[in-house]
Amino acid sequence: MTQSRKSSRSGKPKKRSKKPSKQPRSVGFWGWLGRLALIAVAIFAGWALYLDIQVREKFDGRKWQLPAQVYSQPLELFDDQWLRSEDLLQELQALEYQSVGRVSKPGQFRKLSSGFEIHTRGFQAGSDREEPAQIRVTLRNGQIKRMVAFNGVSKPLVRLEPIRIGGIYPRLQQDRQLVQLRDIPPLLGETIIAVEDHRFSDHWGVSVKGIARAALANFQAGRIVQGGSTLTQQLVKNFYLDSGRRFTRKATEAVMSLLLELHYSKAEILETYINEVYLGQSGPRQIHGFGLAARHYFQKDVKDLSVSEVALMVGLVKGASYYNPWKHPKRALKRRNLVIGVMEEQQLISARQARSARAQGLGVVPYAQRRLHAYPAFMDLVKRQLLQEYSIEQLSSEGLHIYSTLSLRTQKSAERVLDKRLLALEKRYGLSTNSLQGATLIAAVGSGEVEAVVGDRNTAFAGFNRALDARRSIGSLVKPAVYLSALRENYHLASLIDDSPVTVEGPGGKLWRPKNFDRRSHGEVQLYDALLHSYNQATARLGMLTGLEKTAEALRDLGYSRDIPQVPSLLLGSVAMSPLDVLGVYHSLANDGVSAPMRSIRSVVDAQGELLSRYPLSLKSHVDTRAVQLVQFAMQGVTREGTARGLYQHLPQTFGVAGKTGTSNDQRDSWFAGFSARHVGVVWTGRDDNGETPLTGSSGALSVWRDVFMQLPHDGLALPQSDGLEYLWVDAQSGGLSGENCRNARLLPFAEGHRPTAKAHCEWIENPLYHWMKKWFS
Amino acid sequence: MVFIRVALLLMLLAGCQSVSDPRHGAVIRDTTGSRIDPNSGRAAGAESFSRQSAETGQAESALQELMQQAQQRLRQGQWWQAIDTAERGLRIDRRQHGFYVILAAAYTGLGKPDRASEFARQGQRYCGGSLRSCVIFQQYLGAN
Repeated sequence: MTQSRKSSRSGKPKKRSKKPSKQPRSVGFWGWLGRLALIAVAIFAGWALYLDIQVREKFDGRKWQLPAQVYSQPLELFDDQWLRSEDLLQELQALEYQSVGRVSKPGQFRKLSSGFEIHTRGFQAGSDREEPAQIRVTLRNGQIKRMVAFNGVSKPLVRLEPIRIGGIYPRLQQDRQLVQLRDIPPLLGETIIAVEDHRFSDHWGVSVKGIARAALANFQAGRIVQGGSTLTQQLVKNFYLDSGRRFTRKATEAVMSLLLELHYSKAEILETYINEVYLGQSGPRQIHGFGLAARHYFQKDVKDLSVSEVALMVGLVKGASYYNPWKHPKRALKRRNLVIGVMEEQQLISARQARSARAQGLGVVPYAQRRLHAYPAFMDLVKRQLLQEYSIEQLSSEGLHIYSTLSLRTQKSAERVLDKRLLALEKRYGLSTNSLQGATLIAAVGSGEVEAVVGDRNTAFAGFNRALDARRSIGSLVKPAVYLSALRENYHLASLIDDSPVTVEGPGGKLWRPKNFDRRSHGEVQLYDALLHSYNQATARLGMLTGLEKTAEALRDLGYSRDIPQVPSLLLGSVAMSPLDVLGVYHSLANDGVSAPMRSIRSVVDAQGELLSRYPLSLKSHVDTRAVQLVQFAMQGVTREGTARGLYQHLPQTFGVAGKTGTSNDQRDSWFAGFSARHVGVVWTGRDDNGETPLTGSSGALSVWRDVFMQLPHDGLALPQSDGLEYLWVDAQSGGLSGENCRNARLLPFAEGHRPTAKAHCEWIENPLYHWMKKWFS
Repeated sequence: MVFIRVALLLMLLAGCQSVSDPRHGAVIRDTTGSRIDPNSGRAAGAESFSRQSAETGQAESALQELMQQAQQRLRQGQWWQAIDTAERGLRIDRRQHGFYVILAAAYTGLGKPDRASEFARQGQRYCGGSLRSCVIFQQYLGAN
């Protein structure tokens, strides 16, 4: 435009050059094709470059999200340890020790008539190291009587390895146990190649022959019946891509396979394949890789697999569900034998080995003995405690090792009992099956380590965890706190309290008139008897006299940290707690008044074995020891002659335990919480819809607790003793001081300065002279 | 300074290795003034209670082994290992006051006086059988 205007202004037409002007050259068909080809090549190169980055990024980086592995506490073995033969056997089986006739290497044991010979494997957890040991353990009456080395030097303590009890998985719940090529038996690698891709060492990731052969087979069949994928392509498909059969996906797979072969050795590709391939399912958990599959199907290390076991596992690659050896054993056997045939044909094994392998059964562990590593309620607790410090991403991908406090024998005992006992209760009370639910928690006294959690009668169900989340009225379980608050004031166990009807004005002028369970009043009773028989009227009166805030304070001192509504009904347990909350409170009572956080983890170690976190023992508030010991004494009385006396119809008399029953309004909740010298346990039973039940604490939860504690170490409580605690004979009626040989005298403990002063009338039941002589000569 | 304190505690602790019954000395008497041994079973009300538990003197060799290990780790300044070992001991017998001494000393070594006091206070509850340990705990609490 500008140029033409200039021309018009000058009035002279611009001279045309004599040179012939260049005409745009006509681009022919080939030219266009060439350009298109160039563009296509550029696009392809860009795409290949993009794929190349993808291939290398994932292969060089962290290949898989590795779930955190959670382990039980290691079982300690030492003289006098409480341990039943069946519990030790269960532990060895869970650790996949081999039962042999002669113990010769780590991981083996021999059952003897009086115990076991064990060659432990030893372990390292962070800085904690245990060397392997060869020991002979003699057991008698549920205890280790003697432990000596049958080879090497005897040690007073030996630990078995922590048992892997589960994992914290990523969304898809893929689980695997990584193995390196050097740990894989050559036969396994060779068989995989022979069966899946016998030209693996010759091709560049894609086999043209294989594709042609598969195409022909598919054409003849009129549908897709055969894949032409190489082992590299299979790896690419599983590792990088989805499982679709679209053309674009197949093209991507081929290019990525070529790129993979370009950058990495055959050995690296094979190793990755061996760890990646899907080989089965354990509930929602996917079993990937031969390392974990060997454990899943045979409870063995991959290096220990026999010929027939290798054949079965390689056979599963084609379809782990279709050839599932538990669900479809005939199919699996046929497939295994086919693989054995290939092994023989490829001269990986001799004809004799092939015959021998075919003659064997599938050899998988019995279906019921599969290691599902369930314990969902305990794992839930571990996860919640870990999430206070770690993200879910860290837990499900970094291959952390979590050393937990779970005790296999305690957990198994608690699991065995709950459903069995609830079924019996339903039958006894004519309730429909599965109408009752329950929860059980067991912890070690002192350390506060939670050893067992059951949150549902279906112990494998990972749903609502009643042990942690069901917050229900605790009923009379609160009473030890009421009595503790009184004993911290001016009361003692022989103090009298009126059990006549009581009326208390609550918030808004509402009157509260608690009644005893038997609907009777018992007159003036001693504190000891009121707690023993769980009298509501006496307790309500005592609590009101002491002050609601004192009961709330006692609960807080015992470790309960949630809100406590200070209403009169608090005194009879209207406060709603979860079984875990109750466990904390009762642990403090068992631990002489010192509260400690309920712990489920001991340490966290990273994938390289470096210690990341430790969770040491921590002690919190201290309640006056003597007051707590008085409550302990009364709680021992509850189990001997009070509301929980039914315990000793089954427990041995020598096994001293203390506890308290709890029943909420309309018998909606049945509780029992109690302890021995070693364990504290809480059981709740009731309905999920909070409906009424025919159960009290004594008739329901107590029976579950009793059955669990029957199986735990019978390490009984002794008589509470401490400085400033003295035992006095008092009259069972008046509470006045009495003597050993006076009628109705009984022995009660008293804290210094808080004892009866009045003397009771003594009606001798033994001649004083004879009594004196007996004392003199005894 | 920390090492001096730990060394002092270790010297005092040297006499605490024996694993003795920490619970004793409770007085049981009737109005006639006669004493009753709570473990003899003579008292009618106590007959039904169980024998002493394994906490009181059994598993001695295991406890002594752990005590020695814990002390060695303490001497080497391996505070956390000493704590781990003492906790193992307390899992066997939570009333062994000697392990509380180890914990108190190790937390002192780690520069955590509050935690050390927690364990000294707890140990004091169970030191009835050992005057030496009681003195250790008292000194320790006094120092904090």
